[in-house]
Amino acid sequence: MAARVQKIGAVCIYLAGALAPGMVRASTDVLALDEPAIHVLKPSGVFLDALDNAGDRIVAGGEHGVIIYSNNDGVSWTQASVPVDVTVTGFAFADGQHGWAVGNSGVILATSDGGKDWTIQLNGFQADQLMMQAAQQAVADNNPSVGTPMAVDRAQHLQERGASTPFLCALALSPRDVIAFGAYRMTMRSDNGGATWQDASLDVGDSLSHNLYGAAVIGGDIYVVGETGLVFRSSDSAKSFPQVAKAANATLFGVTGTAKGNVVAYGVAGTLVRSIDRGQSWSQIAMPGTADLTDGILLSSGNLLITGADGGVYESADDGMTYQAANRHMPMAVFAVAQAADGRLVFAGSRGIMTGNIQQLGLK
Amino acid sequence: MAGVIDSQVPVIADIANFDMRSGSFLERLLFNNRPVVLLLCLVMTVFMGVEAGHVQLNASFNKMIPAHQPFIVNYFEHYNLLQGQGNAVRIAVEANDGTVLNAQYLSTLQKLSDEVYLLPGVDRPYMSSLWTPNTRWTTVTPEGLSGGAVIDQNYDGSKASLAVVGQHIQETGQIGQLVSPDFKSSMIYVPLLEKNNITGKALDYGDLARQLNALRVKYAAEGVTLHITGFAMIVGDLINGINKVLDFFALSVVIAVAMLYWYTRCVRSTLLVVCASLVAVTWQLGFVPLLGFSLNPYSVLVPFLVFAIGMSHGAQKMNGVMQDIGRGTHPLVAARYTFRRLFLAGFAALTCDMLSFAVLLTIRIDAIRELALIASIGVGGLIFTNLIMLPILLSYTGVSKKAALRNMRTDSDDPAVADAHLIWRFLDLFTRPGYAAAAIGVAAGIAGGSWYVGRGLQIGDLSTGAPEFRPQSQYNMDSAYTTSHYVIGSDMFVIMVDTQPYQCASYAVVSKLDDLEWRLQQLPQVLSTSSIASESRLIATMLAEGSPKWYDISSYQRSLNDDSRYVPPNLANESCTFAPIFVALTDHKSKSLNQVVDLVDNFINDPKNSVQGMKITLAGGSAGIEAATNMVIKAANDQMLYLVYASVILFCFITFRSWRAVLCAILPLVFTSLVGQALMVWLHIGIKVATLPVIALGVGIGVDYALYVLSIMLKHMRDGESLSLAYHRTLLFTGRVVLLTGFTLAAGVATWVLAPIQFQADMGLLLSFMFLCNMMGALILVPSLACFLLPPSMFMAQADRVARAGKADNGYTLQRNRPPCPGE
Repeated sequence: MAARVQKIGAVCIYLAGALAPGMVRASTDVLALDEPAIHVLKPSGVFLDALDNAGDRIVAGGEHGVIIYSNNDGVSWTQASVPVDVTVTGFAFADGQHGWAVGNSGVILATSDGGKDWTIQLNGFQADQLMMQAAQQAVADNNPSVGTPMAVDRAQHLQERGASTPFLCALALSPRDVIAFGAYRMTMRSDNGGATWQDASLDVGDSLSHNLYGAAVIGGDIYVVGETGLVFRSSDSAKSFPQVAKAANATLFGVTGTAKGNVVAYGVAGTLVRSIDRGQSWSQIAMPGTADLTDGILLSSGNLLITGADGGVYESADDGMTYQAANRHMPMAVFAVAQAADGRLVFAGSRGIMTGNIQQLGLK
Repeated sequence: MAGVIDSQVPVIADIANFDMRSGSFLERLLFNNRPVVLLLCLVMTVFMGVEAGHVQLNASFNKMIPAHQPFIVNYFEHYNLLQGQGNAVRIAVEANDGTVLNAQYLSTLQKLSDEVYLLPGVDRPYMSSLWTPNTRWTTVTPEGLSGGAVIDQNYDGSKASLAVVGQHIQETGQIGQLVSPDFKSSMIYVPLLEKNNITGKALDYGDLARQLNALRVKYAAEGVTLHITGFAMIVGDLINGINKVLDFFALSVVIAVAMLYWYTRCVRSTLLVVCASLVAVTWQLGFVPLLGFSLNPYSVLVPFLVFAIGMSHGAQKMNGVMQDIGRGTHPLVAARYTFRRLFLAGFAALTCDMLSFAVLLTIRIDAIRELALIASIGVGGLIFTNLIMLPILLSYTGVSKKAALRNMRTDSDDPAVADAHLIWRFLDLFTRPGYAAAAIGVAAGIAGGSWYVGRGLQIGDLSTGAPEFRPQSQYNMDSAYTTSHYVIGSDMFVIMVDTQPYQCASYAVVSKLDDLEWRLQQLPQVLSTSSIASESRLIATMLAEGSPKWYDISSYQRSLNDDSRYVPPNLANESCTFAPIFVALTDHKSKSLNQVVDLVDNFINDPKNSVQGMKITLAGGSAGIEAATNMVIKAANDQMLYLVYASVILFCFITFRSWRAVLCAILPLVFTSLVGQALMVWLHIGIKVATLPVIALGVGIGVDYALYVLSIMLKHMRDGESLSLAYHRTLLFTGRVVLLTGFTLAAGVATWVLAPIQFQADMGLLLSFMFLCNMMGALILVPSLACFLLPPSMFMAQADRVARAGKADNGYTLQRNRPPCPGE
């Protein structure tokens, strides 16, 4: 093990001076970073946990670096070219062409052709290095962040873990401004379309290192939710993410804005909370099931749709206050949902892609 | 040779005029001590008859597999670690109404599971069902992971406890393995031992299948339908269907006897020929228990084949005796003349048969070796029963006088005269260059086409389910149900991974296994895979409060160690030195198996996949074992054909002393072999343990026919006769019997097409074809080839020598009313 740490250390030193994109193909000893995603027999049938719209295109991602896209509202799918083999966890598209995908092993990928071809912009070794540099800088600068006292210890620990920290979600604020959130409060920001990345974990108002599972822009604010029900909100264009009221005593997997601009967050064991005062206070909402709630979207109708790990699909027609279950469960664990241009619902989950018609599911 | 076969011996009606000291030493030894010989045969038959009563019909899984093959060696080395991943029966228990989450269903399943547990040969610790304690569920709780038996002591059949069971089933992560995704059925997995754990004897598959089928009937009344699959069920059903197989054997025998009688119109000689062949079968069956063997559903064909070969040789002897008696010769003299003429040809043919079976001994699969030995012994027995005992018996009994005279009347000795039989006149055409060339041309064309088609000949099973049974059979219906409702069918391929102690969960190992597993999942024939790698991915999400975004292999060893604590013991042993990959396949077609083997081989051979201390080896599981067997058979198939041909060529050369004659005999066999392979492709029959012997047999039967025709024809040609005349005389002597037995045996086995068991129907078609094709090869191709390969000039010197010795006065003149063959 000691030898292994030394070796990783050596790699990090080597990488420290080489953070420009396209220069990260040195062997890392992490198989998923060294190997491109292979061509898959049925890419829309593998474990998929991320889904997003890119213009009229729908893009999905999941295990082993599989990213697929559909130009016909989810009917047929094509596998994209991806340089790594990590599990993709989230997408962020600034427009129909420019987008980012984040994933395990600290990977950030970028596309400029709407998700067909992806290049790597950051890997976990670089992320670890950036966090260490930022921590040392914060200590030197007496950064007032609540994270500063533990920053170097934290960075050291994450470096020991050797590029194993996953990103869990991302937001594209413009084609230049992107921010990615991950496990253990890992946060990376770019203001040049991903050409360079900076550590932003000290800008999140968390003295410990919680997992940040979901983020969304609602009104003029950016909300980030995560482990143990923590919620962070940025009202200064992502410069800082101070903590707002804790929303629940359970981990939150996602956050979605309602038609009226209110905030709904959801997560473990059927937990769903709603705030009408920008996160100052939260009300618990009783849900029909107790399975984990995994994703939510605002439908074109203005209704809110929430999905469950048991395949449950729930709709709220009253701005997120009450929910009705669809007339049937999807026959798989659903991890993400998107609405296609033609209105149909596209689900990603443990068995890949499934589509559903809103009327046929008994939804409004 | 030429001195022994002499059709122009004097007719001796009174035995007093016969010189008992004439003939070879062997002939004198046998025929001057006829009572002793017959007594010995009687003693042998009685003894073997008693022994034959002990023949058992069973199969052994371990004997059907090549024990020396590296895959199998690995499999046995890991036998205990694999926990019954070899020979197993799977029982899918389908609820006729409702789902498995029903108190009635679960109590029925419990009773069934308990009954199955007690069946002989069940490897009990590794049997699993919803009720067995080794079926575990795992889930995330605020306190960490928890788990337990799917149906625990709190179960009371209430609605609430059924909901708990449902929840637990979800949490096993084994939907599609333990329970079908539609929740209409659940699986009982029953690994089997090689021995009956109650009696210590070899597991009786016929009995096991009967008991399982009895459970099927019993539980049908309780509202569940059983779908049972596995090797044990295939051989068990075959064994239990053996009566039908034997019925068809009997039908073939009856047809053969009827046709023989129709031809001879002599009850006496027909019965003697049949009895002699049956005596040989008795001897053969007696050897089976003496050698400690048993017959299996595939080798049960062998005694029938020995009978068929015996019929063809016996008919030749009987025909010879009948012709001499027809000429007025005393039965003893007739028998001795026939022995003189035909013993060597018959001996050579049977020895060739024996050799062609014996080369199967080179295939290192016990079941095939046993079969080879039994078949060789059986054919060896025919030398005594049909070449020696039968003529001696005929020397006592003679044949019906009327039948003998009728036999003599039927044909003229002259191929050109108008009253010569139509068939003989037709066959005579092939002694002419034009027809001969046309026949050879057509045969070469067919052979070429067959070679082209035959390249598609595959090893192993070519269809899903069990090709031994009809598509609509119980077994194949069950197999179809299982593969369509479960991601794990009966075709499991296990890749074995050994590591240094406590290294099986190291990132280097797990990430490689993850990569290999992922690549395997991209094969269309792979239903699902499982290993420490895919299990670690699942556990990683569980440990992260169920978040799917952690579905990956952590490169942080301590995270991976945390994951591996929850990996079930079948995916990583306690000391973490063994972590297999289970690959469930859609079928066990050879193509599917090859793709898995090739992928894994390429993976292992890629230097970037080598990890210090990690060794990936093939292969366990029923599909892995089948892949190994296929590899051995593929290698053996070519080698076997070369050896069969080499031995037949050698023997023909010893018999004929002429490479031209050897070619005449061998080329028709090659023709049959090629067309036979094409036929197998056309019938979708693959080469496997069960079908391999038929290929060797095809050559064996063919050489019988060719030797009987060619040796007599050569004898006449060496006496200076033209090809046409020599061939015509051969037809009248041995050729007619070749024609008769070819049709007789083909007609007999053709009835098998109607057999309920697909394997027998396939073998019926193949054998029918072999009998007919070899017969036509001997009667059409042999004279056609002789027309070009055996010019009379070849025999001039010999004929002159014979003429000078004053033995060639046969009273015939050469027929010149047809175009001469080249060189004539």
